[in-house]
Amino acid sequence: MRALNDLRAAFPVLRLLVRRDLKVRYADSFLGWLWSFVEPLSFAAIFYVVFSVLLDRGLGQDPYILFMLPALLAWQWTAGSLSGAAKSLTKDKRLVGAVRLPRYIWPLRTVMVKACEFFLALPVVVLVAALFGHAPTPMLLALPLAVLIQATLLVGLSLVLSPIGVLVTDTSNVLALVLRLGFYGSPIFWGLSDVPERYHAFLMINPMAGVIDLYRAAWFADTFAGWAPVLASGGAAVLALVLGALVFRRLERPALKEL
Amino acid sequence: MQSPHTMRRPVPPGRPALAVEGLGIHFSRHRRRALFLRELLSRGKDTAPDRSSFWPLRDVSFSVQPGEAVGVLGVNGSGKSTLLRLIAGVLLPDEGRVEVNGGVAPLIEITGGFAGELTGRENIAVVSALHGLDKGQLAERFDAIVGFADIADFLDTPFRHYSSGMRVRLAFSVIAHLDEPILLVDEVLAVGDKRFRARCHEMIDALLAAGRTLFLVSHSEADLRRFCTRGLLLEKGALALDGPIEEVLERYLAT
Repeated sequence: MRALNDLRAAFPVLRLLVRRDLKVRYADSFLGWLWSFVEPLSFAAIFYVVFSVLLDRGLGQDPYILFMLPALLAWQWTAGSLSGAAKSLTKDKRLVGAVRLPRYIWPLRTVMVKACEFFLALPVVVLVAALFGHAPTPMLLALPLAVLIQATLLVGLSLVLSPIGVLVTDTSNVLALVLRLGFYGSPIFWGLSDVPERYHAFLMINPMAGVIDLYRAAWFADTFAGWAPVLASGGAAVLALVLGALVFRRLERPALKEL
Repeated sequence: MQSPHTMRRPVPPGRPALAVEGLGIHFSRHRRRALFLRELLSRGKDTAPDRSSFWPLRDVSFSVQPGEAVGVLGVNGSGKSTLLRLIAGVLLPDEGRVEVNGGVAPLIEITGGFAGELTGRENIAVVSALHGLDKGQLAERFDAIVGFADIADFLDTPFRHYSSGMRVRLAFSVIAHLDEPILLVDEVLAVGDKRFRARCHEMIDALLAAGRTLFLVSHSEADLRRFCTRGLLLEKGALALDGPIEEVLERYLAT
C-alpha cells in the first residue's frame, strides 16, 4: 500500500521524465516524432519484400504488412523497454545519485517512454488498414487487455533487469541475444495459426506470444489461436510483476552502491 | 523512502532536523560479478567473510537541530561523502538508520539532472520538478534562479553549449532556490570563480539566516569557520569527535 502511495506521489515526476525523454529524443531531429513510425514501417517493408515478394511465403495473411505491423510495434515496445531497463540506472547514475525519488521510477520510466512511442506509432496501423481497405474485427475491443498484459509484463521484467544491469556487466549482451531469439520466437512475421497446434504449448513459454496474437486478432479474425495463449501471457505477466517487486527490493541496496 | 510530496514538510517542532543512529554501510572489495548471486540469496544480510567487505562508515550516531550549521571534516576516504549520500537518501544503509524530518536539498552531483540536449529554460523546469517544486512555485522564483546564475542571455541555448562555470552556476542556483529545510553541500563551493563563490557564500548566509539547516562537507577551513558552529570529525568511517567547530578544526589540523 505504501508503495502505491509512493507511486501516486512520484507520478508527476515520472510524467515529467517521460516527457523530457521524448523531448530529448526529438529535440534536434528533423522528422521529430515521425521517427517513431518511420522505423517500424521501413522494417515492415523489408519483411514484406523478403517474405511476401521474394520468397512467395506461405505465412500469415493478406495484407501482409498489416499482418506484421501491430506485432512488430508491440515487439519494439518490449525490446526497447527491456534493453532500456537494463541500463536505466547506469545511464543516469548521476541523476539517480542526486535526487531522492523512489528508485523504481527509473525502470518504469523506460517502459513508459517506449509505451508512448508505441502509442504514437499506432495511427500508422490504422492508416495502413485504411489504405488496404481492411476493416477491424470486433477483437479490436480487446486491445486494452493486450496493452494491460504487456505493460504488466514489462514493468515486472524491467524491475528485475534494472538492478541486475548494474550488478552484472554482461546483462546487456545476454539480453540482446535473448531479445534476438525472442524476435524470431514470437509470432511477428509468422502467426500462431501457421504452426501446428501441438507446438503451441512450447511457443506459449514466450509470454509475448499470447499478447501479440491478441493484438493481431484486432485485424484478422481467423489467425486468433484462442484464449489459452492470452491466459498464459497474463499469468506470466502477473508472475513477472511479483518477481520484479521482490528482486528489486532485494537488489536495490547493493545496486546503488555500485553506481 | 519518502515521496516527493512529503519531502517539502517543514521540520515538526521539537524534533531534530536530522537523526542518525548506528549508521553503517559496507562495500565489497571484490569485483561486482561475485556479488550478485550472494546478494540475491542472502536476504540482504552480510554473509560475506570479514575480509571481503569493508565499512566506509560504521556506528555513526548524532542528531542535528533545526537551524544548526554543521561542518563535516575528515581526511580523504574517511567517509564524508558516503555520510552525505546516506543522508540525501541516494545510498541505503546496511545498519542503523537516518531519520530526516523535512526534506533535503542535496548539492551533490548538482549537474546530474541536467540534459545537454535541452535548453537552460527546459532544464530549470525539469530539475526543479525532480526536486519537488511545482509549477506555481517555479514561476515565482524563475527570475531569481536565472538572475543568480547570471545566464539570462543563454536561457534558450542547449545546456551542452554552456561553459562548465555556467553549468555549475545554474545547477547551484536551482537547488539553492528549493524549499527544503536541510541543505547538504558537498565541496561544490570549491568550483566556480571568485565572484561566484562570493555570491554562493552570500546565498548560504541568507539561507542560514532564514533558519535552514546546513550540512557542509569541505576541506576549506575558511568556509567551515564562516558558516558552521558545530563540527563532526570522521576518522576511518567512525565519528571521532562531535563538538564546536573550533575544537574540531583544531583536532583535525593537528592530525
